[in-house]
Amino acid sequence: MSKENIKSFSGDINAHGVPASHRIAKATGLKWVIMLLPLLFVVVSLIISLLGILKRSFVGTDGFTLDYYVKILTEPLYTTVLLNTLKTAVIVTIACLLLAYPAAYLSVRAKKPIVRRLITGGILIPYWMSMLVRIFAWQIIMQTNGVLNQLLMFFHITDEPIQFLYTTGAVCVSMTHILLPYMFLSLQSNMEGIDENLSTAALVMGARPARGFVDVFLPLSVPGIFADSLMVFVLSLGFYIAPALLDGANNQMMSNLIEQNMNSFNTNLAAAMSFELLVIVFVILGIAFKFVGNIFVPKR
Amino acid sequence: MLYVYCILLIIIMILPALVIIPQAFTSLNYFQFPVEEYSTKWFDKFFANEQWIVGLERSLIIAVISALVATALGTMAALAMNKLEFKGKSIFMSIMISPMVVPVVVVGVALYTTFAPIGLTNSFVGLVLAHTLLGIPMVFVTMMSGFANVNENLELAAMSMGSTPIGAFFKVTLPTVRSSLVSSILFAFVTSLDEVVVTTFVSGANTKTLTMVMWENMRTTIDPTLAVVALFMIILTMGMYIIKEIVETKSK
Repeated sequence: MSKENIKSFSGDINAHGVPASHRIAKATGLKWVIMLLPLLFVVVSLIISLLGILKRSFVGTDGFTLDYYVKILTEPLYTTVLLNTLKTAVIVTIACLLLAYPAAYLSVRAKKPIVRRLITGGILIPYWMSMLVRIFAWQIIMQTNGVLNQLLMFFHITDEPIQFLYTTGAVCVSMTHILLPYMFLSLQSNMEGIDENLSTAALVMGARPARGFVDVFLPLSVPGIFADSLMVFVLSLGFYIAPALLDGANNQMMSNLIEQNMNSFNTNLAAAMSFELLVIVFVILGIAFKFVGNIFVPKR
Repeated sequence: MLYVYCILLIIIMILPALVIIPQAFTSLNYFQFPVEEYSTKWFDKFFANEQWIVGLERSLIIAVISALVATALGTMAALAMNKLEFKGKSIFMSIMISPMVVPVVVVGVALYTTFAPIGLTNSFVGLVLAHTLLGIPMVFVTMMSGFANVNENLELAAMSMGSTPIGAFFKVTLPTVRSSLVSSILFAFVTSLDEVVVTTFVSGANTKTLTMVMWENMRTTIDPTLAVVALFMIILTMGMYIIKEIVETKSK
């Protein structure tokens, strides 16, 4: 490149003073490509499909009808599954919160960075292990002659093997195992935002460590707890594999019933249930958005 | 106290993997704890069964393609989010993360109803499209925080040294977000590899992925071959985790 070229080029930059990524992003044409291409992909494949099933939930063979919604909101089979889904999601959310909170607290408060790394790494390892594999593992562990029963019988806690599989408990255990890393990560990033000096101040003023925690740290972490719990709740509503394998036929979750309806070609019912589930998700996201913003985008 | 609790929690979190791995080496036809006699017969069974091998190959190919496409699209969207000013940014963001927020079964139903009439169900292309869709929000979220850390003065410096905007982007901007980029690809890869629910709707007899075959076997014939498959899955996904950690440590 000749000197003149460089000169004219740098002159150009001084005139605009815009960094490369901005210029790339703003170059005519390119700007539309980087925005529209991904947008188009998601809209065409997902959003339009969703509108398609919304239509199916209202339009049967004889035109517009509310029958499908009436059916899923009144028939005991459907209402039981709805309640069971909500119940399972509540249990799993609370379990994740109670189990992850102390670990997240310790990892944020640990003086040595290595402690923090070890705790975070340890809890995130299962996050990187195939979900299907983990559920399979729980299936093996909770078998009638599985590890859990062998342990219990070895310690004479029970003499007869206990039926763990095909219970709501089994589903909750495996779902908690899967969702705990999500809860841990977002609790951790929320706790990092809490000013450590406030707890120190409480200690200096003579509060016992426990008081300092209960009166200062805990209240400050409540908005984070609220947001993270809602996120885990939303995620647990849509679980399909765990209930399909570990739950009995009597207490399924909504995802399983949707899939069954699809398989037996009750597409309209499946569509109506899909929207029921989607509305619940959006209501919760809406509530969360009002108080704490978008809970699915990490705040950094 | 808290330390003891954390150690216990981590043990319980890792326990399922510890239980399943030895079972791949059992000599019995069922699962027994602890494994008393070791053998590799279930590995032989795995490699002798074409269903598994074909499924594994298919899974890997689909995961690689969809991870790359998802990374390209997700990165574009994150770039648009960070560097462009346009109306409806929050709507744009909501749409880009929607595949992660909408319950997977609903995504499955939606894709099935669109794919079936145009012959994309039970097809390779259909699976790649579906897995790409699921990978996009992972990439989008990861790259957004990556781009937020880019030092724009470096780009300016590169351009004042005579680099074109596009050259500066590839020489300066991309290397600084390299670790986010690697994480994105790995996230999308693992998402595709591990995907079952949407795949049950979109795939068919000719397009079963490894996890689909595993899923079907888990519901019918549970034998230690499944533990072998589980071991391979653990190696693959943990390998990705380790690569990610190495890249992140190096770039610090």
